[in-house]
Amino acid sequence: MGDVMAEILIIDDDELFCELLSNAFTDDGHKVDCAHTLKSGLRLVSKRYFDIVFLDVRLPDGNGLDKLTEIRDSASAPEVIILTGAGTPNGAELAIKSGAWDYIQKPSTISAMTLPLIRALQYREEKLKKKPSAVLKMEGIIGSSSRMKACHDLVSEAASCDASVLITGETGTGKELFAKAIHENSPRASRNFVIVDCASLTPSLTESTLFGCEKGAYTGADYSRDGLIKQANGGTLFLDEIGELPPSIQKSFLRVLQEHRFRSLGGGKEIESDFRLIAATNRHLDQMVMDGLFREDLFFRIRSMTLEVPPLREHLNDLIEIAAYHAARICKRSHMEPKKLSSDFVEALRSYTWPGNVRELVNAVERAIAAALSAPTLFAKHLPSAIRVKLAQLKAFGAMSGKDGPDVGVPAKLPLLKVFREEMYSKAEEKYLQQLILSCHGDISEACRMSGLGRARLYEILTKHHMKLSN
Amino acid sequence: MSVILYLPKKEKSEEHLLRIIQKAIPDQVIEICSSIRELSDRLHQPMPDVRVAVLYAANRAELMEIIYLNDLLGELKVVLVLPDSDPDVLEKAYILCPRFIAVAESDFVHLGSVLKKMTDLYGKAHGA
Repeated sequence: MGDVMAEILIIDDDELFCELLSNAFTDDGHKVDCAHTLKSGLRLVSKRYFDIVFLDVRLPDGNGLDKLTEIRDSASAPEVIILTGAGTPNGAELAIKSGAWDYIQKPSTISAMTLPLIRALQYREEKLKKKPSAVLKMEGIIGSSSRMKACHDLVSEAASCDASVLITGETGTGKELFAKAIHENSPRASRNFVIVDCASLTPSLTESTLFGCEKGAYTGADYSRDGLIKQANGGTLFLDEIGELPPSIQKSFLRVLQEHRFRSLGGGKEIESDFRLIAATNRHLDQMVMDGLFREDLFFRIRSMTLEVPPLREHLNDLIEIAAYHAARICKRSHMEPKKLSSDFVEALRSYTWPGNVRELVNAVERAIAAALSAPTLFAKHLPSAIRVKLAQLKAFGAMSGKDGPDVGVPAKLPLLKVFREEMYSKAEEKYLQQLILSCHGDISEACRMSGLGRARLYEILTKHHMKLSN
Repeated sequence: MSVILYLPKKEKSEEHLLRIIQKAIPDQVIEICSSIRELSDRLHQPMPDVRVAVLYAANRAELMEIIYLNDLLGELKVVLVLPDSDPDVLEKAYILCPRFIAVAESDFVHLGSVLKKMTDLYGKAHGA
């Protein structure tokens, strides 16, 4: 295992498995601690230093994945390797997206467990040795959670090279801010940052806007103009919502990306442009490729690097920091005294699901400030009524389905742990589905996107709970 | 949803632009600012319903005045009308990160269609 001695924590309720793994790692010279519940694991993580945490998904007191971010955000920022006896592709995806180092399905051999450990330790060693880079310009990008830190690292990496970058993320997550941050921290910062808003252009306009046109090249070409590709020469071309690029233009644009040469519409002469491409989309381009809606060769060409901006619900630790930043900014812009955020305002922000992400949050804060007028403190009642209605509905559902916390007192007869666990899991799943139905307004695509589930799987779970999306 | 329109003068080209915009987005509120001072004052007010700003820079000096207000335009999608398409004008214009640029000599038909799509798109966004 080399000379890397690590502090390892295994959080798993299977005591025998813990012992086996612990012995194997101890024999390799590592220091190992075990916790058999999520609560005790979290306590250890909050008090001690760990390099690596092996985290089981199904624990007696909760789902390990739910606490992944908390563990990654702890002081030692350990690498997390997810363990589960019931791995699903969606679970694996969620684990990796949430910043887990790897995902191992049990039962697995000790050697299969050791390999990810070695790799994670090598990665961690290099990460800790890395010199801190110059301070990045990250205008408007707020948050210090592990998810956002990972995005900052990618911005830094992307800014230091000239590779094409694909930024993915839901609407309202701030993809344009990340594109700007990459440009502004790159050697091209002094040149143009040119935006092509693919979703707002008609197909014919997209072509002339990108490539430029000579006067009279087509009906309506009343004057000659350079295209945005040429105007991005030396700088960055940002194709926002690249998934909307018409197929005919995808082909021409691929050629431009390969050769950095093109002809304007109606023009005979080849034009050169040395631009760096950043593209963004809220669509699943891989699925579009499979459906024949997006060229595979272009897809591979634009994603030399990929930056996935997380939805707000996946970095809720940043929510209050983001709200406070924008509240202060809006007050300053409007020549108002800074407003305080009351505890009920904070609680309301934390309880809401934010399907529109940071954009919706900023808008809600702006509306709250407008509603508060000269009042020095923002209260939940200042939030837009649509949000307050949704919060009230969520609260009503919570009251119907009972509290999350354990009951006080000892029941006459305890059920088997397995039975109890399954019952709690089912209740939690049902509660999640109720909230999902409310948040997605009966839209199946939106429900799939929010839950990370495929249609078939989602319908299967809904049927199991006798629920419908239109509830 | 509202659109802020900076339209300093009401001459032939500006009148034409206004007609095109009114036709393209008849259901949207258009808040017209006819001086940089008015625009600055408006941008200092809360803008919970504003997503898009159409800014008509009749000359280079005006473009520079608009650029000085860039910090206030942060959350807005900017559509720019420029006096011409000289490279040095465009270089300055890109400081504002416009989503679409038209020049004053054009017929603004494309600007109208883009604005329509933008208001449909961003008006639908959550919380708009």
